[in-house]
Amino acid sequence: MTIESLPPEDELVERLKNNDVQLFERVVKAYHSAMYGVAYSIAGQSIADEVVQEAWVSAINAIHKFEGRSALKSWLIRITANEAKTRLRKESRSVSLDAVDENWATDTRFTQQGHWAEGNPEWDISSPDDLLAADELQDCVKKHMVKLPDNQQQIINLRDVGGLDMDTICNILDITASNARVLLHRARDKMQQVVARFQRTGEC
Amino acid sequence: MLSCKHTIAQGTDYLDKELGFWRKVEMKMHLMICVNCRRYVKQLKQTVIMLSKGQFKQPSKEQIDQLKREYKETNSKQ
Ligand SMILES: [Zn+2]
Repeated sequence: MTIESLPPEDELVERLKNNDVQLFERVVKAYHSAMYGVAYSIAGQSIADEVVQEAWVSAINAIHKFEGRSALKSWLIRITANEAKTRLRKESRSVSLDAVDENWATDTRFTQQGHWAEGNPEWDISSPDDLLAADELQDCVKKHMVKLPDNQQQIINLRDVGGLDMDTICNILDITASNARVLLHRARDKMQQVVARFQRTGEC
Repeated sequence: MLSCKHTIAQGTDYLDKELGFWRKVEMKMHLMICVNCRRYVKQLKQTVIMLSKGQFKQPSKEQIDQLKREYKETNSKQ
């Protein structure tokens, strides 16, 4: 499902400051999902809902001070990330970084010489709208997003789902730019592979 | 010449325009002659757009109602 279009940014913020409840509901529906992804990746599943709820309340209380120096969505994502960081992830995660680092040497997509072993076929479902409309595929993407190692999951949620710029992300996660780029690529590459396998085999 | 494996490893930097001049030239030359990597870069871009527009977790009706109440109350105080 895609988000319904919201009014232009200036108008949006002005109306939110002026008690437009209907518009507020549309904003919640449009951005809740991205905020949840960020909360989940940083604070863990068990308290993600709580973190998002708290982030919204902080945002409601601060909207009158919002000056529009960043997009509203970026502002909400940053509030969510900060809220999430103050809460500790409680459940333990099973993915180890070693398992991910192995991928380069053992990536079965490529031959020893670094050529595609079996080529890379076109996707049957290829436009973003068609990809989004394929429910089973979206379920599959969702399932694999949460299986990414923590740091990859955090970056892809902050960057691609949340739309933050890399400088802001490096600040939030306290990592270097080059490290962030490597992690972002690993996460995107993994998600490309998930979509590719689903298209090739129909399996998740 | 870059291998395919090295080419796709630069996919994110290429899409985000983070490659230096020569690495970009090298990458473009590879993409010119390699349909598999060309497809990969396109698919990586489609994946990113899909993620930016996807709705993975809709708020429940209760959550929305609770937030609307919070919004109304906070606004009426100001
Ligand atoms: Zn190639």
